[in-house]
Amino acid sequence: MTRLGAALALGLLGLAAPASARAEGTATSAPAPAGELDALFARFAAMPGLQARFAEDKQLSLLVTPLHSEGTIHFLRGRGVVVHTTSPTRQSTLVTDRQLVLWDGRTVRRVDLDASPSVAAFARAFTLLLGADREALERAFTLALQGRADDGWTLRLVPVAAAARNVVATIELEGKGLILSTLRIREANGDLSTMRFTGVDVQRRYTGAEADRIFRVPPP
Amino acid sequence: MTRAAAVATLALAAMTGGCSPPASPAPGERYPCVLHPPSELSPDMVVEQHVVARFRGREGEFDAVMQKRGAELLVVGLGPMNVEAFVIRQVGDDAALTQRLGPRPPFPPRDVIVDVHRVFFKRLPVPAEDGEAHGRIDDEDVTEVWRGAQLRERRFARQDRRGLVRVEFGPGCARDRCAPRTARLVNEWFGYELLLDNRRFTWL
Repeated sequence: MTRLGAALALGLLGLAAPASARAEGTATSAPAPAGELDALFARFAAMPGLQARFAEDKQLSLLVTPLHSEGTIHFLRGRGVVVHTTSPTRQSTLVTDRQLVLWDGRTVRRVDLDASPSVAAFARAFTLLLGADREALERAFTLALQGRADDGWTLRLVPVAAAARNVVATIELEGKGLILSTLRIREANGDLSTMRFTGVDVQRRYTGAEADRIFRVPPP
Repeated sequence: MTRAAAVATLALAAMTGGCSPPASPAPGERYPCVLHPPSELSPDMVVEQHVVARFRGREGEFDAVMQKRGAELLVVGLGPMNVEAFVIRQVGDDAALTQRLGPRPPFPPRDVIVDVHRVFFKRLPVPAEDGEAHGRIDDEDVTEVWRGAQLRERRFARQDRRGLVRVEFGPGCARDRCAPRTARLVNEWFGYELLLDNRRFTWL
């Protein structure tokens, strides 16, 4: 699992929080410019699939050097999101509507999302972001967009629930058009993850055989 | 703990298959070793590693980072997504555990630090030639085996213990800089084994 998954899952814990908890949140960001957000989410909604390479540097506040990892991320509607980390070691994570499947290079662990509502937030998180479910996303986050959807932009997500902000302070996603470039996740404890994307293919169409191979954990 | 943190804990515990309390290799028995303050140890470095612990037929594993800098030695255990799971901090001769999420360290914090010292810091003077070197460190007899200008094994023996604590080093522990790709610590005193896959060394 990447920081993308972690942050979205942790941030979207607000979705699982009761309304009273959500009401604790205080939206400090200015309302997102509706037209540009609409345009951005419309672009995501039209995306058939996604493939990208990522390089992540995670700076733990306790450590003097960042932890580096690299790999690929794939998204396909109906299949979910799979992250294959290739360095420093092979690990994979698959999130579907029903299951979270983790492979640490040796062991496969499966979490039944229907039986684990807290973990189910992971699946919803990926669906919300890549499936462009803005309404659901805004129930969990205050969104602030800078820039233009068809040019360089930065989308800043701040968890609505105060309790969620105790875990994740902010999530910032940068891109140009549909091409994601950088994801920054600031945790409340000061840890910072920076994930840079390259080779982003937002028109990725997977054949059935490709999907069977790529969206399999552990990978063949 | 906040609600979000609690839920995150549960979520991550579920993801990691749950966690169990650290098992002491010697319940009620102190793991003998003189722990020198980190300020007396060298070199300053960061080691990213994967740790496998085997004890009484059970096996656990986790990613970790060992950082020795100045007067502080840290072992940071990592959960999925490189989330900070636990921190063992040695300052002076005291080691303390801070647990944030699962997985938990396999042994009590001081015992983990003792093994870090045995693998990385308790060493004899570097010999001029290959062969076995013998010496005494604190109250233990130490033997080191050098082959091909690399340290391949270090053994600790005590008069009040039967057996050894043995560390087998993979390639990379040279005379001028010891960065073993792997290390296997076999503790015959308490019957456990640690396998370290040292993925990256950074010298500070």
